[in-house]
Amino acid sequence: MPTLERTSRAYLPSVSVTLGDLESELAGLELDSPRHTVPSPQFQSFSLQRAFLHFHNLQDPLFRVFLRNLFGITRSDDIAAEDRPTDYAISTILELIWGARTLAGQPAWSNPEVDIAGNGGVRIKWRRGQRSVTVACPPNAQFHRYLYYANELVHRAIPDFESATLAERLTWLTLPHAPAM
Amino acid sequence: MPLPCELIVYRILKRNPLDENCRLKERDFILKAGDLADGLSLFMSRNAAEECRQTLNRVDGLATLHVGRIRDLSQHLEGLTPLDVIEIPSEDFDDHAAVVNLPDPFSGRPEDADRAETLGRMLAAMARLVPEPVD
Repeated sequence: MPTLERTSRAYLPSVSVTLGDLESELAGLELDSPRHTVPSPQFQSFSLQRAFLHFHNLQDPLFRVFLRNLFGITRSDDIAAEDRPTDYAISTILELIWGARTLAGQPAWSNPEVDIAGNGGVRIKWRRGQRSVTVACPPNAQFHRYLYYANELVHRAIPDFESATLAERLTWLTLPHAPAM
Repeated sequence: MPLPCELIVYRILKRNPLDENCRLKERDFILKAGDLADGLSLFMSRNAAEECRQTLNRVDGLATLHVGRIRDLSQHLEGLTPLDVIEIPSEDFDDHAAVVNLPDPFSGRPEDADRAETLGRMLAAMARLVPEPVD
């Protein structure tokens, strides 16, 4: 396991990886089809550090399901080409979510609904009873990502959120009697 | 031209339009990045919506909305420019219309994202899935 160092955005592993390391990690994904065991063009366009950041945590089966769902929408035949998430959207969402999961800890993690936001964006939504947390990432840096959370009483959006904010909201979801805000 | 309040309009839905509780997802009622100028696309007749649907790949149904009820949503959110539903002539499709004045969720302003999500939830809740014809 690599050591972690705090950055302004997330905990990033302070290691260097090779393409071989990455391919090994990808092979371990055990996705549904043999064609998924080699890097797709999407993966190859990621920085290796970012990709490794997301794959070195694969021992957690819940997180593996999330990764499978996320990468599934980049390949799904059910999604029109213009709506398929861009590299920017996928890598941004992975970095934020991985950072939030690290900060919040495994008990706060539950698998979200992974969906498209259209025009290359991604939507991720967690629900617990009347509470929900939604993260929407646009297709490119021209637009602003946001986090939206709501319960039966209040709702609020936070543009350009960081991992720590998402971690706080994921923890809020798990509280038995969550305060309004 | 503003549409009459009593009109029923049609919205084309993307694949997998229902959530785990079998409710329409707000996803299909929130502006996509870059779509602010176009508004939320609608059709004024089922035939026009079906014709458009045939030309698109990977869509999964239609939902109906009531024009007057869309306009009524404005009064639930303070500071919102009133929503309207207007005819938008299109070279590609007949009977094309759009909901205009919806906020851009990706603008970077918290009030825009909050209102866009809240309105998306309200629109999804009031929309009705159109049953598919039985062969």
